[in-house]
Amino acid sequence: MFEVLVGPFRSPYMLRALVQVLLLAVLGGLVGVHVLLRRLAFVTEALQHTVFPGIAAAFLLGQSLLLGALVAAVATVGLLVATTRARRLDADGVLALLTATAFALGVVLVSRGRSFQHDLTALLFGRILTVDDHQLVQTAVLAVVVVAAVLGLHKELVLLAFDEAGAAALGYRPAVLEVVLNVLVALVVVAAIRSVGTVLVVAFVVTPAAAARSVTRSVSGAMAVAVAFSAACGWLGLALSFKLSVDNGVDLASGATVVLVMTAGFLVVVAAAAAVRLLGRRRATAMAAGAVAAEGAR
Amino acid sequence: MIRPILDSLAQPFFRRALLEAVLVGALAGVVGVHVLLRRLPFFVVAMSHATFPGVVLASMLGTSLFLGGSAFGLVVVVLLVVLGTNRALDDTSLIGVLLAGSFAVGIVLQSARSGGSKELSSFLVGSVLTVTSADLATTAVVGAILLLGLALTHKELVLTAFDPGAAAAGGYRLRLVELGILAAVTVALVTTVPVVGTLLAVAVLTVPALTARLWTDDIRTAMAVAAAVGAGSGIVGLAVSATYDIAAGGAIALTAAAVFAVSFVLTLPSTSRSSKGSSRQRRREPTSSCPSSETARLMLDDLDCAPGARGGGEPGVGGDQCGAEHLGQSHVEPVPGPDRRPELPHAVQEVLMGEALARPVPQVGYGLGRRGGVEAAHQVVAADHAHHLGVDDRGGGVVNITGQPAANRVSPSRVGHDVVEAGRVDDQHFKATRLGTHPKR
Repeated sequence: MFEVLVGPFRSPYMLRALVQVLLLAVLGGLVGVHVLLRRLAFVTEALQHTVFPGIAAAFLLGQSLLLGALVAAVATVGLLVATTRARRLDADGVLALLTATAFALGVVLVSRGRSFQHDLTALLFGRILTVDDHQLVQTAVLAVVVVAAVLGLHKELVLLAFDEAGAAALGYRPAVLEVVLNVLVALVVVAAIRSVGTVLVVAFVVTPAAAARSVTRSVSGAMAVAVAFSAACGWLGLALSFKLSVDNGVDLASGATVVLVMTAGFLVVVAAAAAVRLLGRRRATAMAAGAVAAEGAR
Repeated sequence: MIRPILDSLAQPFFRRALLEAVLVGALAGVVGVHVLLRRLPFFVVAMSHATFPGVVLASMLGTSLFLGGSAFGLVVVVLLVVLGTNRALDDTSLIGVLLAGSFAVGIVLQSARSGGSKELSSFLVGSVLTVTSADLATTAVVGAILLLGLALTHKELVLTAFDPGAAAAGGYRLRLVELGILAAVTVALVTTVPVVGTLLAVAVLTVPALTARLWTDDIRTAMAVAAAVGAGSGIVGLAVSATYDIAAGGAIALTAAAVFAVSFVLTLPSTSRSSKGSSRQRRREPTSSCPSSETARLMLDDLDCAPGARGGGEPGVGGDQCGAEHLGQSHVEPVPGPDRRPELPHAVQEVLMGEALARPVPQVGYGLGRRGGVEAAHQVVAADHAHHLGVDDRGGGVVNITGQPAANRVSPSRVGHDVVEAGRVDDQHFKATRLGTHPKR
């Protein structure tokens, strides 16, 4: 068992993948709790698709993918802020529109390239096993920025999430904080997109936080649980995909396996939490009944 | 530009593709209006990912892609509805989790079989040029059944979308309706897969409807416009794709988006001034903007005031609920009889103890409810004043917490004896919206 968990990471490329996954776990776990608090899951989903044409364009032009992703992410956040201020349209509809349009643009861009299918799958699903040191450094820098921002603005962000009017009354600027949070989400998406692909990023943000939410009610506690959950699932998923691919001959996409382990973990945690709650309630009623019986006997 | 299109038209495969794109565009346009009405865009995005593993599985097993996609999609819908009853999870996050999870299943399945990268990309972004006559027949039959079903249940669907509380009180089983419409959207989505692929289905299912919403407030007209936009985007998109040699699915989606952009600019002047366009303006003058006699005119704008509305949420305290009010008047008995009353849940407790993470309730709301509860007209005025005091910055919670929003729901003529019950209807309303998959912020 121990060998299964540690063995694969003796090879340098698996070790790099592991480091990347752990970094993303920290990023996604911290920001994910805020995404959950503000119900920004759809925004995250939209961002991961709107970043796609940026990457595709950078890929075709031979520019840095990180640069393309950053430009696209910043443009998206600008559009989002502009459209959520204008209330003529249903915000969800606009998000869906942005998601679909950006994705279509990306597909069209990629289809102009020479190796359509190959590039498309690479960009869509990411290549976590080909992460290099350079990329790791980029992720680490993004992680430091995001972690510093989340921890530094913790009080303000939580206040904003629970009581926007209160935050405004206290002199904070909800609009500015909102933009900051959106930028943070965008940075996480940018950091994760090349390793897990343009479709699965949302799992690193939403799933751990949702799992943590069903275990704890405290915000800081949820952050800790989310990071731990995500890291554990990442580790397990990578080890699992390595074991099955190398020893059993079943090729499993590593990024998708990690996400799959996360989803399974989420379902287990939710079921366990529900069971514990049910047991607790039953015990409470049993005790109450016992007390009543004792009372009656007396 | 014209020449290559004419050349292509000579090819049977291009004619089939054209027909398929038109059929799918029209179908998706109509269904899309329901998607917007029920605030389901995120659900569509999620399902566009969730049907993917079904399609992969079906191609591995050699069965119909349509059946595989639908079956897996329906499993996810059921999972969503079942897990949605868990208090600790909000719908948006749940959709996000299931979306990524099920898509990962698809990728893992795909990676476990060797090769097939070409097939994979055709699932993801569609390959309308390889549509067969059998595909066409499937689309036509499924589309006809779906449209017939939607047309027959139109009244009920619209009612439950606008005012779930009244619908529940009138005896409709909300969860069943919700499950039905989610299933219908899922099936519609799977029919679009051959044309635009799983990932771009959301483009044909939302963008034409959004465009139609810019032009009209009437639901039936919106459906007609959306169908036209959808079919037109299919034709133009295919032509563009044939001319410039780009992916057909992407071209169709981009055409629809372009139509939306043009519509947005064109409708900008008319909607910013007229009383019906700007929802903000309507809120300032609730009474004047409420057409009291035109029962049939359902405002899509009224969506903005639905509880759980996104973006900070204006409450439904103003005059925005005319549409729902008319529905309540004309289609159902909005108030449950005394015999049914005990069955209705008490949302005041439900809400307060419900979610630790929900936003706190502003204290102003309590006073508001106690004061203006009995006389409807006063309630409107009180609510209106409260609005100017800034209560509307809070979420839709004001209505539900006060427990006495009668004035907004019940027509003035029947206020006298219905107020208390109406308050309960609204309690139900809040709970009912929780059951759906409305993304909330």
